[in-house]
Amino acid sequence: MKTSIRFGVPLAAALLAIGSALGPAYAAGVKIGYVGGISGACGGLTHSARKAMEIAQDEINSAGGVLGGPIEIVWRDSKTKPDEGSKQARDLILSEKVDLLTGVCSSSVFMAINPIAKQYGVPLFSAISGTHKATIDFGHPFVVQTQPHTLMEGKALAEYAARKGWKNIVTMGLDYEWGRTTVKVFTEELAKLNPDAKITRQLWPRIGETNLTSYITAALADEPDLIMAVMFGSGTNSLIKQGKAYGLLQRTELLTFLSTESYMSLGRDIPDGVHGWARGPFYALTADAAREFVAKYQAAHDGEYPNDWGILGYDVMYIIAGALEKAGSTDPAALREALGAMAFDTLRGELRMRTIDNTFNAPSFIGVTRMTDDYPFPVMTDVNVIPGDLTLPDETTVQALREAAKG
Amino acid sequence: MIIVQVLQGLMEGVFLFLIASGLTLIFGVSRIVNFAHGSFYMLGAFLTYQIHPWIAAGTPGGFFTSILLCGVLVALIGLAFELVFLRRVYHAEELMQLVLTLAAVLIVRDLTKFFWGLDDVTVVLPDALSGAVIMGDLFLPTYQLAMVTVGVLVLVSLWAVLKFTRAGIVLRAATDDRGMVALLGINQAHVFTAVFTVGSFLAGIAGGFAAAFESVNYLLDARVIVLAFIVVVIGGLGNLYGALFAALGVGVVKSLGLLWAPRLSMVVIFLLMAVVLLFRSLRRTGE
Repeated sequence: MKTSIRFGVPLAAALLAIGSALGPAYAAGVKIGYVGGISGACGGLTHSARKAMEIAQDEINSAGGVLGGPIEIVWRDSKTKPDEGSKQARDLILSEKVDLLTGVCSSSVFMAINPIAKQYGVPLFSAISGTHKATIDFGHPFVVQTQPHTLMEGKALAEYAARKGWKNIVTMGLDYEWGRTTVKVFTEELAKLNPDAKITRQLWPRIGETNLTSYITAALADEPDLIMAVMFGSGTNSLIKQGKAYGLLQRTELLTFLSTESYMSLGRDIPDGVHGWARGPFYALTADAAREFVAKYQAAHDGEYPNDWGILGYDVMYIIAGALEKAGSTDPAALREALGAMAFDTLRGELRMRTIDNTFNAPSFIGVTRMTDDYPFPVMTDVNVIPGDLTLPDETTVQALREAAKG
Repeated sequence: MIIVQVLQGLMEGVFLFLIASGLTLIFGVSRIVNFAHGSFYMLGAFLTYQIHPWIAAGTPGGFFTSILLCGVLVALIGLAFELVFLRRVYHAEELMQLVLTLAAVLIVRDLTKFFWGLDDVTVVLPDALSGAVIMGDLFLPTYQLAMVTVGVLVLVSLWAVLKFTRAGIVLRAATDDRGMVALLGINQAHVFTAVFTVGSFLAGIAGGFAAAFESVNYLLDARVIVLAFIVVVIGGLGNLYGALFAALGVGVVKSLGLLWAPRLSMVVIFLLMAVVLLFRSLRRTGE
C-alpha cells in the first residue's frame, strides 16, 4: 500500500502537469463538445456520424478553420443513458470549456442535456436526435434542431399513410420518448387527414427487446392494413426478420424507420416492399456535394457507405462552421442571429432555420424497399422527399405546446 | 387469438429455457452466480455469424453444424475459464466469484466490440427453415419449431443424464450436499468443471440459434443475462425443472400481457419474481 502511494502521488502530479500543458494550447478556433451515445443502444448508429464529422472537421481545418483557428471536437460517450449524458455535458462545459455542444442520438439523453445547455447558455446543436420537445415544449434560445423532429416526421408519416388509404392500423412503438411521441403525433395527424382511419391496437415493445414474435402475432390478429412500427436498429431488424415466417408482408403492409445501417446489417433479409422512412439516406441525395462526400467517406473507410447519422453529422458541422463564420464570434446571441439569416448548402439540399423554435426545415424521406443492382443491400426506391416547410408546425401550435409545457 | 398468443408464448418459453438451463445447472452444482453466461451466449451468436458461411452455407445441415460447432467452441472457452480462473475462487467469498464472472463479462464485451464492431449483425436463415407450418390462423414458423425441438432435446437429455447415469447421481448429490459428495471421495473439481463446460455449451448453442432469429449486437449479453436470471430465480436457483416451468410461464405471461396490458407485461413478470422470492423466504423462516 505504501509503495503505491509513494509512486502514485508523483505519477498523478506528472499526469496533471502534462494534461494542463496540453489543455489550453490553442488560443483561436472553436471547441465543440460531442456528447452522444457512442456506446449503448445508439452504438450501432453513431459511429458513422463520428467518422463523417471527423471528415468535415479535417476539411474545414485544412481550408483555414473558423474564426482564425481550427475546429476541435471533444468526444464524450453518453452510453445512451440520460444521467451519463448530462454528467458528460456538464463536464464538457465546465472542464473542457467547449464553445458549443452537439450530438445526441437518444431523445431521452437530448432531453437530459437540454436544460444544461440552457443553464450555461452554451448552444446545443441536435444533429441526430428526434424529439421536438427539446426545441418546442422546453425550447430556449440556445438549442437548435437540424434534423426532422418527431412532430415533422409524425406529420410526414400521417400524410403518407393517408395518401395510401390505410384504414385499420396497429402501431408498434418503442416504449420511450421517441416511440411514444411519434405514435401520438402520427395518430393525431392521421385523424385530421383521414377520419376513416383507426388505430386498432397499440403495442409497446421495450428498447432492446428482440424476440418480437408475440408482438407480431398480436398485431396480425387484428388483420390490419398497416403495421406502423416506430422502432430502429435491432428492433426493426428483428421485426422484419421474424415477421417473414408469419407472412407479415403478405398479410399486411409495414411502415417502419429504416435508416441505412438497417439495410447494411440485414442485407437480403429485408424483403422488397417494406415502406420505410429515413432522415439522410445517402443513395437518395441528389446534391453534388452529397456524391462527393459519399466518395470521400468510402475512400477513407474501406468502401463502407455512410449511414443516415453520418449524413446528419456531416451537415451539422458545416451548419456550425457557416454560422460561426457569419457571426464572427462564438457569442450565442450573434450565432443565433446568423443562423436565422442564412441559407445552408447541406448534403440534403438548401436548408434554413426559423427562429421561433430554432428548427431547420429538414426533409423526411419515405420510400419502398427494393434490391437493386447498385448496392450490395436493398435500399428505398421511389423515395418521397417531404420538405420540412410542409411539416413544420405553425406558430400557434408551437405557442400552445409551450404554454401547455409550462402548466 | 388467445390460443395463438399462448402457443407463441410457449415457444418463446422453450427458448428461454434453453438459455437459462445452463445457468441454473451451474448454480445448482457449484453455487457460482455466473454473470458470464450471457456473454457465452453472445459469443455463440457472433461465432455462428462468423463461421456459418464456411460450412455448407445456405443449407439447414451446414447451418445446424455451425451452431453445434460454436457450442463446442464456447464450451472450450468456458472450460478454459473454469480451469484457469474460476477454479481458484470456489472457496473464496461470493464477492470474489461475482467479480471474476463480471470481469469475464467486460472482457468478452470488449473483445466482441474489437472483433465484430458495434453494428448489428445477423445470420440469414437457410430458405428451408424460413417458412412456417400454417394451420388456419396459426402460423408456426419452421425455425421456431426447430428451436423448440432443440429445447425439448436438451431437456430430455439433461433429465436422462441426471436420472440414469452415475454422473447424474453425483450431480444430484452435489446439488443437495456438496460436502457429502466430497466425503465420498468424489473429486468435486471434476464435477464443477464438467458442469461449467456443459453450461457454457448450452449458452453457446442458444446464442447460435439467436443469431439467425434476431439482430445481434454487442449488447446482447446484458439483455440475455437479465432474462435468464429472472427465469432461474422464479424457477428456484439450481432447479432445472423449475427453470423449465418458469421459462414457459414468463413466455406466456409476456405474450398474453400484450393483449390486455401492453405496457405492463414485464412488470407482471417482475412481480411474479418478487412474489416467488417472498413466498420462498417466508416458507424458509416458517412464518
